Amino acid sequence: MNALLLITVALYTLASVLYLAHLFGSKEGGVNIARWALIATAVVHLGLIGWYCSQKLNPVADLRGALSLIAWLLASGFLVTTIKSRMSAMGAFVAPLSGVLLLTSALTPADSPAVDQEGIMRALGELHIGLSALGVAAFGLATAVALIYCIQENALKNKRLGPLFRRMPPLNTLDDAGRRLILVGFPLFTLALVTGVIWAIHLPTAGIARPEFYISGATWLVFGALILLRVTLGWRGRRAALLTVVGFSAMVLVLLLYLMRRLLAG
Amino acid sequence: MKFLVVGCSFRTASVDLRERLAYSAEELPHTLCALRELPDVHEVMLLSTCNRVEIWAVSGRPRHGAQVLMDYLARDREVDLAELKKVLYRHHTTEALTHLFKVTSSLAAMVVGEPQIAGQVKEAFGAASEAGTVGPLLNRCMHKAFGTAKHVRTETDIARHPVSVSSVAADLAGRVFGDLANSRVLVVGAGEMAELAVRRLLADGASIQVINRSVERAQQLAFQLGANAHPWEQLRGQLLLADIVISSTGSKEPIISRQLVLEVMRQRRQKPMFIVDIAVPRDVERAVGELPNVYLFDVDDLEQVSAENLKERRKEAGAAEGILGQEVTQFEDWMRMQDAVPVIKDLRQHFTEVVRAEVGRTKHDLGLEQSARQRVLDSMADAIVNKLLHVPTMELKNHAARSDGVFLARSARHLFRLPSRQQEEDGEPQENKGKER
Repeated sequence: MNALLLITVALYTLASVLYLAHLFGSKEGGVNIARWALIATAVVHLGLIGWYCSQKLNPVADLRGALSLIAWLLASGFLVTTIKSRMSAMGAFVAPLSGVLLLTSALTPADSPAVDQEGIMRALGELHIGLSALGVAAFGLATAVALIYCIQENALKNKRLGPLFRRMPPLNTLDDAGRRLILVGFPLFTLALVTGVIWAIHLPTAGIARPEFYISGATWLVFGALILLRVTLGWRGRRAALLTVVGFSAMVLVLLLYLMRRLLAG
Repeated sequence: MKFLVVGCSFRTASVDLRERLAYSAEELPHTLCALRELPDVHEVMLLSTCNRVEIWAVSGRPRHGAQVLMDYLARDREVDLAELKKVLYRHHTTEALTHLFKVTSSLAAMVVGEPQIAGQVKEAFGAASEAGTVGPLLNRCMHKAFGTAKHVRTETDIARHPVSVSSVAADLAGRVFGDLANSRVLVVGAGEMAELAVRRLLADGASIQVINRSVERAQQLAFQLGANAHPWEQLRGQLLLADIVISSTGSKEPIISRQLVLEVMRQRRQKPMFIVDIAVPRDVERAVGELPNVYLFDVDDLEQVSAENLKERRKEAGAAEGILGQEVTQFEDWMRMQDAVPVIKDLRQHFTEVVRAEVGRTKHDLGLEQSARQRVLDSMADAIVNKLLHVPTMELKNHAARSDGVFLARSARHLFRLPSRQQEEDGEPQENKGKER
């Protein structure tokens, strides 16, 4: 591991601790310090991605680069989300998730089928990985919002209105943010699936008979159903939040399967 | 000059006596002018709320000033002085400042942390300013008190825990909807409780609809609140549109059933609904709260939230006392510094006069009165005064904020035979009576 990677992981840890302290600590405050820590982390992480690029390690060429890119997109996406809305509580979920993803990326062996390809197939592979990273990041943020929604709603329903309750955003704000993030993530993920299928069909070794492809399809169906149910039956609130968590869990399973495959191959 | 507080509050006086002592807004201007005319009262303002009646003044002789103010109150409000003395507290100097900052920061309020008192103090200060009874010291002190109140509210969580039914309901509704300015509130029942509960929501800019079995009463309340009234038959239709429902009818049976809300929620596509049931017996079936996207709070729930919030406020009040102590000390230091200003001025004037006289004589002896070179001598004279007085000025300023400041100022006057002033002569011992701190 290089020094920049270690610094980035350490900064993610610091930002996570600060956001968790803000959310669960006995005293309110410190959110600005946490935000600046995460901004610094995102900048350093961008520098790390740039350094990898300078070493001819394309972030959208393999799983290793993609995991790091997802981590950065999650952190940056969260920071952008919090510019206008009071969603700082999400940081307690996003910062640790980004840190874990970056660490996983660092432990994942490099190389993938994408780098072995040439010309249009290579471009297609990179487009698939890039779109997948964007889609996963959007759904990841939607899941962080959904988890906070469930905690907040549970507190309100059971009248347990402690300090944690006061530090979380209003339910409507969370529901609306979740809806927007799914609407952003779904077209990106759809394109990622389409490019992925075309790419996989033309890969000489892989083909489409892999469980992760079917689970990805199921994930797409879950998020598609969520949008459809929101539009037609007015699904919202807890139900929508739980379905978001289910969809993202399937997505995490796909990433784990890819990861296991890479580790076994490595 | 010293600060002085004479008054009574809900802790020391009965509501009957407070009512007799209270001053209306119309009475304030001439009362303030009359108070200002009293001997030993240099600056004055009068705070009269339902929980307290207090006179805040600046006086050269605070003990005597307090007596004068008590006599005035007894005479003006036709209350027996002996009876009045039992309930009035009298504070001066540090105690008075601490009390004044406490009151403005709502730490001495019946419900600790309620923000209304800061507004009432501002109104009282405004009335006194208009009446011309506020001088530089009271003006500075009040701005410090307002700053302290703001400091307390921002540095502690004292204001973040609502305790009245109205503010608890509005706070909880805010946890669901965020901004309440665009929310629609349906008031079911037109009783006094509903009116009280809806006040905070009204202040937040929510649109209010009133529905009641008696349309006339609904219209009456709607008129008072600037809201719309609807006939009872439109209950279902209004539930379809409402974000927040506040129910307080006198019905013996629940009027909002689980089935009704279930159907309404389907029709409104699960848009969240926040229901506050302040009726006893309850208007809303308990099972309504189990429906998705419906949040139901009854009187017991609100009271529990209120009690917990009050506990939190009291905890925060401890932290606020620390802030208050620091602010009072800072203000007292500033006041003592002000005490050093006259002696420094007199000292400078005395030295300047002596040196200028000597320089004038020298100019005359040397025949330089008409020469351009005389300016050099003037500059030299000013420089000598500045250099000679630099250390004594710093020492007087530094010691002004300490206990030996007055002694040093008096010594300077004695050593250089400067004319004496009131501030340094005023050595009246402290005396504080009364129960409230």
